[in-house]
Amino acid sequence: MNNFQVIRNDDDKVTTLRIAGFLDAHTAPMLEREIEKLLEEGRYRILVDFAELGYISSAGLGVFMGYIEQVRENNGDIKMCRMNDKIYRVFDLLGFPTLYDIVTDEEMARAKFVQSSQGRVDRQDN
Amino acid sequence: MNRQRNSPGTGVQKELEQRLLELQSLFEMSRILNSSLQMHSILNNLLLTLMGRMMISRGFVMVRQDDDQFEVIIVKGLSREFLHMRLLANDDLQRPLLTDDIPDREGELKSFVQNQRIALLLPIHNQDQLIGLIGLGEKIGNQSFTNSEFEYLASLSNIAATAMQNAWMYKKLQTVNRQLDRKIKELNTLFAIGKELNSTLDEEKIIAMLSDAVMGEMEIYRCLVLIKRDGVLQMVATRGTQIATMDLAEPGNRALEERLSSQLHPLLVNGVAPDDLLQSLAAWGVDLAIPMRIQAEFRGVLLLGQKINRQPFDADEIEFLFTLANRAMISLENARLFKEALEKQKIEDELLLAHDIQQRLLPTKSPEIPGVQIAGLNIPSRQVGGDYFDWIPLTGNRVACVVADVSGKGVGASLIMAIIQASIHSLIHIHRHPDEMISQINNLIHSRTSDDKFITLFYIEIDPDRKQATYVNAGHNPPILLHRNRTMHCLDQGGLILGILPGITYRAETISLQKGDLILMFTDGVTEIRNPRDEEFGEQGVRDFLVGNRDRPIQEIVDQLLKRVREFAESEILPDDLTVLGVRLV
Repeated sequence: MNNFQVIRNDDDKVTTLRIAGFLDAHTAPMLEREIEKLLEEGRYRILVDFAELGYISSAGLGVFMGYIEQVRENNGDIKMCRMNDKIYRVFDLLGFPTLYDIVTDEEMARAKFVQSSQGRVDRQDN
Repeated sequence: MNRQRNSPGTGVQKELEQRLLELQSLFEMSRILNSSLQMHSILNNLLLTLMGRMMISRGFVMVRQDDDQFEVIIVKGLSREFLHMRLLANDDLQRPLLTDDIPDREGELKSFVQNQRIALLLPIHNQDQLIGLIGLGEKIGNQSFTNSEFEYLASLSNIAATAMQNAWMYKKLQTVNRQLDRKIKELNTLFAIGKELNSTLDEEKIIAMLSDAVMGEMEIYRCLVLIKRDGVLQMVATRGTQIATMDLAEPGNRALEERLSSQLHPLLVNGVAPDDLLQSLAAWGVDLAIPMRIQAEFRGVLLLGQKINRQPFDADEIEFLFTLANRAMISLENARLFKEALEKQKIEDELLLAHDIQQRLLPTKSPEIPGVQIAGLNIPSRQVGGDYFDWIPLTGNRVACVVADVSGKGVGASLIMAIIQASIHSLIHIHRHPDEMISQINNLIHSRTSDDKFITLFYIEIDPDRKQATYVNAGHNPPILLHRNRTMHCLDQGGLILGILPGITYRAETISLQKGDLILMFTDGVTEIRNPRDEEFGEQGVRDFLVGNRDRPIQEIVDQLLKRVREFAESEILPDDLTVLGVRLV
């Protein structure tokens, strides 16, 4: 019944969460648990890959809001990449790009983790 | 792609899209809120949606608990240490409130909210009661909440209230359903055990069933069954270890018995202030004492140890055990009554047999002796009585008649009666003189019976040819001799009742008779009968009866006397054995 999936991929600096399917009220708690696990392990550099995500609801957006402060207080960040147009439109309409780095490809996002350790950087393509 | 993102279209288009998104999220929200019945998931979704929609990074949800305190059940972007924190809030917190607008009387709530940099409080009401509170942090960039956002929040709070209410009802329903399921299971168990209990009248089996059921259904380590037998509480079953060392025969445990006897309801050993008795029960490993009663009378107690899962007994379990134990007690009582009835039946069977033997000792058919008409009847008050009558034809047309009354009733009296019957039948042909025979019978009875057994006896030999009779009266109600000329005469000569003193001599009297003379012999069952006004029938009753009935045939006289006695007593059932024997010379 759950048409949502999170695949986690750690390297020495960044954890990538590849999310797929529908992120809505029903599936949001799955992603919350996954992020909470990362924070417990002290992994604060989180890259979310949206390539396979088909739909996101407001509740799904809320998941990212709930952890951003704690992540940043620990010198980490939640960065997002590879959103399709429809999903990006949702983030954009609500004003998320002012708060999050949302970039087109994964490498760009990884590069930003290096930069961000020297200070906040706005979206490259802004 | 970047270019696409950089050209969000005209302002109108963007506004339209925002509007669409808002509607979409409202639609999704109400769909979710109404489809989920899990309180936590409803509120989690609500908070996430608000945070996502308004880009807020901190929030919490509080829900009213049974004790009217509000407990934090969800935190996001706040320290998890606040989870399960409880505080009070007033029902009159209305509409979405900015932190600064929270009344100062909500001190605890206000300071928590301020310290956690919560910007807005969204109260959720059901009717007039505050049932939840959602706290939201400031928006990114500290932008202020717009009027339309306030409205959005207010309407969301209404939808949430309904959903929460539904979730509550559902939870309650689930609890009730679980309780119902459990009750049904308990009832089924009771029904099954009841059927088993009904299938046996064996006490040992019933007790085994009870302890098996208790230990099996409740998973209890130790079980002890105490039943009152012959007024003493006795241990009839022990299961499990440790508890078996308890010995209620010790004098110190009398007090325990008394305490348990007065116990009306199940007693949780740890549930009351400890006294010495409870301490000793606890030391034996007893957690629960369940009294067993029949009507109000204490009949036993079931002592139970801890459950295997070490959880305390809850009220439902105690009630179940109470019902089960008392159900088993009823079966035990049935078994006891059945046993009693069996024993009674056995005694009755024996009595019936004795009655049968006794009735065979009494003559059935009047002898055909020229010149004499004889009729007799005997009505024992119980199956076997102590009355005896007989007639024995002798040589030369003579006939001997006997009426006797053995003290007491039942099997003992009937045995003595059998001795007398046998003695008379064997001695009658040896002795020439009735007084000698009676004296010998007296000695025989005295030597064979205890002192409290005695017999009154009237013996008469009638010679119709010579028109005379010789009788001996050993303390018996004097028979009445009614002459043809209507004079009456009491036949009271003889001596002491039989069986009291040995070696007594008796005096026989010989009387002359005429044709038509009537002798009526009877026992005290006739004369001592009383009516409901406590008046005695007496010998006068017999005399009066004779005056009015003297001309009837002898059988009718005997039958009519019985009828008269019953009419007098106003009862068909007579308290004492009754014997009547009539003789007429013709």
